[in-house]
Amino acid sequence: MTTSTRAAARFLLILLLLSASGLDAGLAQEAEADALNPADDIARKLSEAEALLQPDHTILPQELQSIRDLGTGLEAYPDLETSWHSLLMLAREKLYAQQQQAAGGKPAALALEELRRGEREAGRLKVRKTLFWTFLGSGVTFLVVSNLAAYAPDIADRAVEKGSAGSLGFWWNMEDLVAEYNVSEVSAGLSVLSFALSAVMVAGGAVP
Amino acid sequence: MRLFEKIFLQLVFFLLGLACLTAQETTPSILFVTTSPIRARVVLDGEPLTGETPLMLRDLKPGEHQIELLKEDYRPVSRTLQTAPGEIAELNVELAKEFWRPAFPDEEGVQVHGQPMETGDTLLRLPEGEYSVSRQGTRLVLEPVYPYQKVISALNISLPVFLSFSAMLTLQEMLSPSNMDLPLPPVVLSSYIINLGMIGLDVALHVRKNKFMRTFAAESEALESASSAVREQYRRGEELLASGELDRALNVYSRIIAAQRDSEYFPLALYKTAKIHVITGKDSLAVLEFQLITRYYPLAELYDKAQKALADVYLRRGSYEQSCSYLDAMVLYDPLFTPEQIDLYRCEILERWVEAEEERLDELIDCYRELLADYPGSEDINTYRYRLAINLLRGERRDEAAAQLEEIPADLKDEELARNVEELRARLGEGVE
Repeated sequence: MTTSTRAAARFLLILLLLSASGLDAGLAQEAEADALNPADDIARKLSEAEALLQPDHTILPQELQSIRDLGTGLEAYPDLETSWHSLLMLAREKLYAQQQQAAGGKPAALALEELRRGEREAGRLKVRKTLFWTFLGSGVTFLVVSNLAAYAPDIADRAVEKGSAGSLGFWWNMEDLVAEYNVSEVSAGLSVLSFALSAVMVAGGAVP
Repeated sequence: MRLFEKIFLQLVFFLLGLACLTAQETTPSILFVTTSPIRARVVLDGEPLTGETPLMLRDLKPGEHQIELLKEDYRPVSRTLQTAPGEIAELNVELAKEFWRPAFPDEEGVQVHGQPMETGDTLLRLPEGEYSVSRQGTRLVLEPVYPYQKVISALNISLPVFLSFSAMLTLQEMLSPSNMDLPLPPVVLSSYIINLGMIGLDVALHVRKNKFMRTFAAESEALESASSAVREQYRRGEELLASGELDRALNVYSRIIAAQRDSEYFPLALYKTAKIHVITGKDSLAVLEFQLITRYYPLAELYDKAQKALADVYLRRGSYEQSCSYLDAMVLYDPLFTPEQIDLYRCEILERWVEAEEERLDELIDCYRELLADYPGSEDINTYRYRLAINLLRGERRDEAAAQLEEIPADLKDEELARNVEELRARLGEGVE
């Protein structure tokens, strides 16, 4: 073999090796791309997530989170993103519904209890309001009676002076009764008591 | 002996009648309960129920029932209703809010109780009550009014008057003392008591007013959450769906589902989403969505439609048993479906099933027989007979098939059916299957 032939053979061998290694690298790259195609991978994960939503499966909060995590980097695949949105919604609703079922009638019982408490409170407020206005009214009435009783002799005198008294005997008896039973003092006492009680009602929340 | 037989027979008939009557009386009723907004708690006859509205109450004892609907921030509602045996009824209640949500899109700025609020695409969420509205420059000012403010205002005027009156009486008494045993005359004492009472009431009202003002809270929400906005959004989705823009329609419905979970449009949007998924071939998603509707959002207007859609999807997938089970779950409250339609559909499913599994043939034959028995006055009675005859022939029951064909009148208006019947008669006559 001449030197030139040997050189040509070496050149051909190098060329062959180079092309072979290039081919290998290309094939490996293709295979790798196939294996790591993100769209396929996400689609596979989404279909796996669908299994979590089947009626016989009880979804867990961490599973909902794992579905939520699938959404990162989905902007490039609008179709997959839409499916992911639906899956996420379904998972969220399923988890919520499961929690509702697990709670049984407890939330409704709590709401009912709160309602009844509110109704009882409203009833009590109504009673307090009624008592407040009753005591206030009584206080004013007793105050007026107390004053009338205190000034009964003066009123009687004036009525007699003016001659407008229907019957002198009536005023005479009236004065006696007022004096005998201490109407003025008793009424004044009741008036103060009523005012005090109405103040208690206000303090107790008769005025919201 | 004859008399004994007569009595026995009468007794049997009486008992049978009684049994029928009792059975009818105890046939449970079905009640669809829904509220606007959804997700309200339900208390039935004092018994708190699992889940939230919309609810489908199966096996409801016929008679009078009291239903209480409770939802936070909404006034509780109590309804009494009467259900008849076997009746399917619907209770749809619009819940009244305990707050109000005004929007001021044209205002540059809004201030509520000293707090600047966002305007534009914002809804204010304010407690119910009286408000004073004024303007400070370009800003709209809303100030809550204490419910007893009028009493406070009245006291603000009357208290100085009464105090002056009391002072005048005291002054008069000092200048010309009355000849009474008491240190002060009753009228002066009375004026003091009245003044004291008024001052006490004024103080109490001011304390309460301060508490009211301290606890007052205004919030803001996105205008999107307004029921009118959700309605508009849903309507937009409908338009897009009608014009075939499925992706955009899906986007609109998804937004409702994601952000308006309490809206009555939530289940409707969910249904539309499922329908779009059926159209776009995403059956597995559609199935999950329809199942969600039937299990957790059974609106009266959606329940049957969703069950039927599930039956359709499973039929397409070749899952005939499941398809039939979804048809069985229909309650036929939706006027869109008639019992005859659904029974016929069941027979059609069975026909497809028989193609895959020949052993289902008897079931199919029974299905058509029931159809004939249940709807003797149907317009399609001859078609049913023809279908029954075909399947009887398939099962080598030639005599029965011939008997069915005999029942079909000769003068059929439907030409295609008449041709088919003739063909079948000929096949039977030739003895060729």
